[in-house]
Amino acid sequence: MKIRINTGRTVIQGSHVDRKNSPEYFRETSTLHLNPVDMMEIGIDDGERVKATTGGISVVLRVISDETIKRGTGFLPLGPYANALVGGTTHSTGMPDFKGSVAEIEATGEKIPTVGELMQHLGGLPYGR
Amino acid sequence: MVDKIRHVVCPYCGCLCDDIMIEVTDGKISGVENACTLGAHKFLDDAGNRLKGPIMRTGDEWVDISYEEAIEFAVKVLSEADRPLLYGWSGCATETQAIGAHLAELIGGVVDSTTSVCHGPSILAIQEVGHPGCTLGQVKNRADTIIYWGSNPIEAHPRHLSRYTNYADAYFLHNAFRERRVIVVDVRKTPTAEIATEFVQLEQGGDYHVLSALRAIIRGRGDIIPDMVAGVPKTQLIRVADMCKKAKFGALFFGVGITMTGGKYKNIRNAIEFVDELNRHTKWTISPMRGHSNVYGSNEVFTWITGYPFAVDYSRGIAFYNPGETTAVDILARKEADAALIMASDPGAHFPRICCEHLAKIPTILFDPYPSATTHLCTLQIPSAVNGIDAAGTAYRMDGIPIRTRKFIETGYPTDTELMEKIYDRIRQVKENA
Repeated sequence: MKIRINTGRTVIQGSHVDRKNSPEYFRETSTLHLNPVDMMEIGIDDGERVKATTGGISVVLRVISDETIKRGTGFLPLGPYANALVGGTTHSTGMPDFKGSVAEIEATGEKIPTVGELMQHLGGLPYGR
Repeated sequence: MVDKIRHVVCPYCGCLCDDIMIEVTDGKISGVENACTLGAHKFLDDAGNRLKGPIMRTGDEWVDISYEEAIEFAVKVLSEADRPLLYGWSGCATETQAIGAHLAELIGGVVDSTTSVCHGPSILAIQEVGHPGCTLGQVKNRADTIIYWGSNPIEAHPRHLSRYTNYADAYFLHNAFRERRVIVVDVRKTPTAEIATEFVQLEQGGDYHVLSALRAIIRGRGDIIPDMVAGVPKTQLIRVADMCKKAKFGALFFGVGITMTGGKYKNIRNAIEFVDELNRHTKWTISPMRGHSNVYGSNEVFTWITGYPFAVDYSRGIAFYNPGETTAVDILARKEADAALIMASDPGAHFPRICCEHLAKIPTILFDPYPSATTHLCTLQIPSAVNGIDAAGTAYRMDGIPIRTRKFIETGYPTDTELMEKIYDRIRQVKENA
């Protein structure tokens, strides 16, 4: 199913910006809010995982139901998981399409990478002390 | 020993709340009063979270190095680079930002702040049509109608409502809380929408259409508006336009909800022209909800020094500004930069994946007190003192008011300004001796 993903600050995400490798930040920024009817169509329950794909790149996310989210859209708190789905085009403005990624969403049993693992996929070396 | 320090300035968001009380026990922050959740975490999570010293990636491992070695590495990388990118600057003091702008000129680099991925489009719009703005003090004491458009202050600027708008006392309103009306325009029902007098829920990307419809109604051309505009009923648009016209003093605050969606700066231009339209009937102002504590300062400082507010390219020997070309995301996405200095920001968490991939390939030097997402991507991280905790400096509030942050504990970490001064001086020596 195609979902247009919106991003933005949440209190939990914002409270842990100086602790981006904490379990709280990891959990908050990798949790996609979806309309419960869309979740039923995808075939997932609260807390289960999906694979979101844009431009051939996928990221695994946890899902929670949220009735304030309109069907066909999702909300993913801003952070490295949301941005893994964003392309580098800025339409000559300098600003990428942070709030308009249309992702293909499907159920998955795969593990969600930590922030360090996600950065490793992009070519980094996790720092873990 | 317990010390209580009053009038501390919170270095988290663009509100720069200056009424924080901090309790320090044995040199460490042990209590915070008056701050919001975000600010309280900023202060309370500091202890035990900082890197002890610089770390460097060598092959497949991280090693501890000295500050002297870190500075030498930074000098070598930046002085040898052909197209260095100096990015970030929004969490540090204006004093540090000034050195960043001069360093860009010295090495022929590009200096850009986090503006380009938050309110860069707002500045582009302001450059086109101007900025009918005012200070937050004017809003607090006069505004009877507030609009938050694409902005969720309850989660992003939690004390904005209590210090300046809905919950603040006002000199010129008899009973501010009862007299003020708050209109929230957003694509989802945020916590801020819950407290709104009027919540306008539009379709994602529909901001330009709704603003245009409101402008037409205020111009007296409501007859041309269809029954529904981007998911908003015409009846509600007429009601909102009426509320806006009846205001004695209105203030529109907009967030990245409309700078990041389709249309980008054209949305903001339309919002400014909507306010312009309202000013034919009554008094309205418009202001961006700036995120980082000193992102506004970076625009001021870069403008004084280079002539441009962000995305300044010195590769030609003179300052050149062309957002979309000289902005950090574009330079990284085109894989142009061959070295990066990241100051007090976290592109690993906030840039598109293609940019992060490029940062991981080139020498990337990160100045950040804490391990962040960019830590995993960088080559070298240098921890420095935190502006507003163990370093003092000037920061600009979201309405352009400069405020001096306070240093209230001693940790021994060098400040960003001290580190940048050393790097600048040594690179200048290298250039003079070349």
